[in-house]
Amino acid sequence: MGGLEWFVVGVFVASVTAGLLGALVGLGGGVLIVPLLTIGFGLNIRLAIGASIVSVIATSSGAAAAYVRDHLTNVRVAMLLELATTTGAVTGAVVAAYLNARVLFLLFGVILLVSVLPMVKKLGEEVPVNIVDDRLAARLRLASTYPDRALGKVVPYRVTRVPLGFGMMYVAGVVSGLLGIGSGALKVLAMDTAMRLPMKVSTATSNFMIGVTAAASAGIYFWRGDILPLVAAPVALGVLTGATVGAKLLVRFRNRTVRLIFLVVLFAVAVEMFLRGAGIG
Amino acid sequence: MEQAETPRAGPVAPLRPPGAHPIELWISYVLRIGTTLAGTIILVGVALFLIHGPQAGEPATLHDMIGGGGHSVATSWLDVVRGVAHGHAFDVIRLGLLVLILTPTTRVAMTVALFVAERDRVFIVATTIVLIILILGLIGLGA
Repeated sequence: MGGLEWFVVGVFVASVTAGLLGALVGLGGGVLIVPLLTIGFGLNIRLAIGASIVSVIATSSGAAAAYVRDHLTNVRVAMLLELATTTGAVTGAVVAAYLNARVLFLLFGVILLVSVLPMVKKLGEEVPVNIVDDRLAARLRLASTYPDRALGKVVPYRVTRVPLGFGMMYVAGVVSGLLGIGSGALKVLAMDTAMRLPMKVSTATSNFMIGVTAAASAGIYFWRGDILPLVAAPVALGVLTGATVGAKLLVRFRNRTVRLIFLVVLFAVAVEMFLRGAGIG
Repeated sequence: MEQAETPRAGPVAPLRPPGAHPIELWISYVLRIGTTLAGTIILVGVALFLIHGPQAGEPATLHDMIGGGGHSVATSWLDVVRGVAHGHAFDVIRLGLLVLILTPTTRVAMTVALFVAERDRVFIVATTIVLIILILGLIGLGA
């Protein structure tokens, strides 16, 4: 085999690991792909972002299929907020073309640190109480119910601060389009913390939205030629394999050690991305 | 097949919330079929590459592809279709990637149908706008 073949195999194995780790800690593997391809394989950050955005669609669509079937997703909230995330994603993908690679490295470092937040401190509540629909939520009938298997009943919930959530979702879309990640952490921040959706609903709805958001910018990266087939293929197949295996292992494996290892890895990667952005790395 | 449809023993039996539409179930199938189809096509493309090597007119060595960080290789629908017809590995992979991008787009199109069925004007408009944004990206506008 020549150098290209080994490169494909190497990227595949690394992407399986990223997908596996991501699934085990409940974070998309996407956030690890860009550092992996740039720091690990010496790839230009734009091409790394292009490959990453495709893998984000793959994992989101796979997981979303299960969530929709379980009726955890709030389709109305998702579609409304997708107006914000897709517009944001297009903005991000277009702006990315004009940004210096070093700025992209710096931004990526910041976002990595933000993604750590939900892991350190559990944001939001399982089922928030005493929430009143705001005007938009009432008009658009966003409040709904979801089946909670742990509680064994259908739980009704309300939705509030829709404009704030909408604005935060636009930012999440820009970040996704700019850096080629799902920006699930920002989406959960908007739905859990601002709009006060129950944890399970915001997780499922966020996952449902990630694929659509990523698809909005992926087309732009694709036709621009930033998605190299021999990079994107092993990344997409690898992350998908890793995420599938990870989801199965999750039942037996969810413990503090895995999360701690992941946290340390994320932090180290964030520092390395910062250094590259600053021109020191 | 679906927990909500098949009553089971135990307290978690009727868990389908009122108002849930069967289109949601089809959306779940489309997501699964799209991902599997895309994965299969990409896999075929990678196999073609491993058997026949890189396709003509594309980077042929590791240095060509990622030397100095690598560079973009722009393409068009016509090139991809022609390449697939000739069994070119890279274009087969590109087709798989396009199917992957098309999967969430199809899902949004089905959601438009969901809201049309529910005669919900505000959401028909909102979902159609999202669909248009996705289609514009997919045909290569903005690249």
